[in-house]
Amino acid sequence: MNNALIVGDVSRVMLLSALLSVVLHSSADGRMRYSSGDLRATDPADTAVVSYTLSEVVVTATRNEAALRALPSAVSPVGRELISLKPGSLVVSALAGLPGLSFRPYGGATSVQTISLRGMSAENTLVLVDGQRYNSYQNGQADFGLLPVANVERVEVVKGGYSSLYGADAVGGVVNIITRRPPSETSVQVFSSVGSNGFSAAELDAAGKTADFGWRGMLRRERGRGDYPFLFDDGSSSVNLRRNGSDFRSLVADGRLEYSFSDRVDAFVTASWTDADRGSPGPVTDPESSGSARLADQILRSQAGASWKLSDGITARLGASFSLAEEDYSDPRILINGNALRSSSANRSFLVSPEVQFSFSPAISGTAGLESGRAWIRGNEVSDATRWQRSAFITTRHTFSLPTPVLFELNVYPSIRYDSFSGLDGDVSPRIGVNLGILQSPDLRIRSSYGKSFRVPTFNDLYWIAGGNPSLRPERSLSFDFGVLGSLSWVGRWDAEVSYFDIDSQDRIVWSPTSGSFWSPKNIGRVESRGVEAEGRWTGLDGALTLALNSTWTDVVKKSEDFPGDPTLGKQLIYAPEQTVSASASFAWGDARLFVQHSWTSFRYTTEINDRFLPSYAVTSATAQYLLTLQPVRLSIKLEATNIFNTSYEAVALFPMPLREFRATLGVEV
Amino acid sequence: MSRRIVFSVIAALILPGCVQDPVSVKPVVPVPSAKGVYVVNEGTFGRGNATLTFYDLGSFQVYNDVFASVNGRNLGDVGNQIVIRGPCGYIVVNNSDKIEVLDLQTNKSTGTISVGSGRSPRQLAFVNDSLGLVTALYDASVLVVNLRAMAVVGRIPVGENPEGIVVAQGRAYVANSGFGSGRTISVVDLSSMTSVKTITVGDNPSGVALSQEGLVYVVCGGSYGDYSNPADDTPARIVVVNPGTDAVVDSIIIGGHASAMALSADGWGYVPTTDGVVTIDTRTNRLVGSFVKGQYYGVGVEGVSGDVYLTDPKDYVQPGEIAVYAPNGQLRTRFPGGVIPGSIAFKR
Repeated sequence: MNNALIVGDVSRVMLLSALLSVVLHSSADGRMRYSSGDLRATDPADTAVVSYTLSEVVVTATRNEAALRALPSAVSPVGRELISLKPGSLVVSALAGLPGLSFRPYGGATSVQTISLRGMSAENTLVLVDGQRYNSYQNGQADFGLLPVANVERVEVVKGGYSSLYGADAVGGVVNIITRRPPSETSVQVFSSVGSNGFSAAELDAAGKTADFGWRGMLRRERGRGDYPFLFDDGSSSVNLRRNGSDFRSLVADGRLEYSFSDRVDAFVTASWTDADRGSPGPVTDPESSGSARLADQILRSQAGASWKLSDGITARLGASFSLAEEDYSDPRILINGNALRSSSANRSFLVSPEVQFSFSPAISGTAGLESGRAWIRGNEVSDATRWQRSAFITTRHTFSLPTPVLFELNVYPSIRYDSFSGLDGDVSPRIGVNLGILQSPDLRIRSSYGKSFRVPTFNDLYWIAGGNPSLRPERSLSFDFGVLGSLSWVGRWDAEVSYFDIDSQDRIVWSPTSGSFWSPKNIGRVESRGVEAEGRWTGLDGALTLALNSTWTDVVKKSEDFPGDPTLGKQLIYAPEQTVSASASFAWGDARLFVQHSWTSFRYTTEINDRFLPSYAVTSATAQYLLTLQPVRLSIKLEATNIFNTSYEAVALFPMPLREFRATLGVEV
Repeated sequence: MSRRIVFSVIAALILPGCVQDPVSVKPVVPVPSAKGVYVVNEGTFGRGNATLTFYDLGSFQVYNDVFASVNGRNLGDVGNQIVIRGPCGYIVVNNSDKIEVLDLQTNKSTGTISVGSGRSPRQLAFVNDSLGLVTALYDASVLVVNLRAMAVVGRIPVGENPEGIVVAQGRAYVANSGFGSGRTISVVDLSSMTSVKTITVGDNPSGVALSQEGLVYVVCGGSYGDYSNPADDTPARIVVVNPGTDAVVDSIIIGGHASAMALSADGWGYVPTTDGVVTIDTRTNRLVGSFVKGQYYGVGVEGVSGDVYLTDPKDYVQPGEIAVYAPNGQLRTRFPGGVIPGSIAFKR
């Protein structure tokens, strides 16, 4: 609860404040799509990457390309093939079922939804789109209800504290979203979807490339009534209801231009525009609940960059990014002193980031860079404010190879970053990571990392008109993880990894009543999150069948008293599941593919003293996809069923999730 | 071999997880004949964890979460008020847009009055055994409730963001808080069921109480002005209105900010403020001074003993407590409540 509360009027202000907090914190959808790669992915080599194998995947999580198996900590990549096969149209759909992630959706299609990594809050999970921060500067959270997956090439979920590379808010980890690049051939694709509860979507993708020039553009429109049926069950009786007032429409336009001036100099510019209007009916507190609130968002994001290959081992890059996010929450039925409830804000940011990437030899490589930028907030409930940021970082990788079958390789990843924000203390975030190759065949490795991370106070924390505290310090944390991973080729391909993690977060920003009249935040909290992530995959039948299973246990506990005798000491944080389990199967047969995913989430406490909880739930979803070539046209058909067994559940208290839903998408490529 | 592996993975796919849901402890519920104190705990907004506490004045046993224990379902979201009339208790559940009706012998719900989505019911006052009036915080209205039919049968427009309400001399007096910006009370004529006038009382009127002498006491919480500048706040005051003439007969500055008060049968008024609980003398309408220190939220006075029950919400996150003071300010006891204990009613 980031809004100020007047103690003497607590319930009414809390009421208003929590209404607003839906805007400031979090409402959603779940559905689907494809793109140029999808329609062409018909040979076995392509279908094999429906699930990744440790030995093959290269990620950029460490700011330099590195093999997944050689990284110092756990990274879960989701590639284009799997993205196109999973149900749902949002990035969050592609992330469903990954270990270490917990989801907080406030309803069905396109409602607000946030993601947390390793038990930490959404404010402690940094979300990047092509390296550009996506989290709101105002509340620190990233609304995944506004992030379509259609233009995404891959997502790398980097787990553990990573402020040493990415700066503020990378405490639980980083969700690194990489959008699609222009393909090697010119293509034009059109997709059309229909689904349950009035869902429809239309999309136009076009892309092309010449020797020097590449371009890609996407225009996507979604809309729906959103009035999904759900079961209202208050414990003594249940009744079938519909989620009225959650209609939505969104338009996303996204484009990228690339130009190669020479073999050594490249440049690009990107722009994306999101215009969304979503009904946000709020909590279902009784069978007659029907909210009238709406959430309107306009987001403009743009980047430009250039790279110079100075020599074979050194590349210089200069990037600049800009974002403007305007949000308006209104409820005509809530009258405050005669005026309809309205909360508006505009966040702007600008960042320049020069960096040098170097590789002196196969054994030593790294990146050093600077960042300088500014963020602004303007709103009717938060004071106008500006914050400067200046940062410097260096990260390197040192590889030591030995000509022995045992203990054959050691990778060391030291990195350090300094971040300075106007009005706040500066932070130094060092980190050391190692990856030790124990056995070459079968591949067996251990990895570990230890480092400092931090989260900066949000603009709400600092400048909320009725209670913000400009004296706040950043939250600081220590992050440790240790993992074992291995691969084996025997009756197919086996990959397995187990990771233990511990994140100890100090100086947590906690809002509480002051001795005066308001709620205000203070740096008083300490939280420790510990857990184990275990996952395994098997790929067989020449790559046509992949089975994957993972489980995450998380114990995230409050370790400090807000005052003497605080009974919430030692209690689990709310909405943090103790365990999640996910299993999936993907199968390719000729031009047809099938995907099934079953995810189970344990109970989650909903009160700080752990006397109330939401029960565990399991959800199963499936897709079937068929590709058909009728030269010169290629067709794709995708059918999705989500929540197949009609599970009635809430991920957030009083926000019921949809029962079974279907969608169908037809794609045409010329 | 490969077939066995496939079967193993499929088995793993359908197996449930290891962590089981917590097991509920069988609740203990009050005995039917018990006399005691009901406390409605608001709970955290949006989490549906309003609860009902009962403190047995015979055994001094505390029963928390009575409603859910007896009825097998949660009370709802933001429990604002409990008021008793005859054998029934009425619990106004603000963000669930309803009034739960309880049989006080069994604590079983005998019905639910839905007031309409988004109206945000705040406080209930009785006109008679079959008619009640409930303020609708976001609807600028008072809703007329048929208590026997358990249905809303009328709507009376009043001022902005109405909260407290009392009935006196054929009229209802409604505090128009304006969500902190109001300065008036509305007077509703019960024969015509219309708002007939507004009376200017002071900044931010919220709570209303009726004295033994039949005077209406309005808690004007005081303005906050610019939130970041405490210096421009105006102090809380108690404004006394004569319902016979609708004249303001007194205005007592009490300082700090306040939202509730309770009146004793023997002429004392107790008001929790941000600067501590103060006492006023309702015979002279003068501020007596500090009753007890500390920040309390809700208040109730037990009719026979004159004991003052003050709710302590602590940090508004953990379960609060209820402190019981003798009329002389001596602490008698404290007992635990739920999250944000607020409204108090006595079952005699």
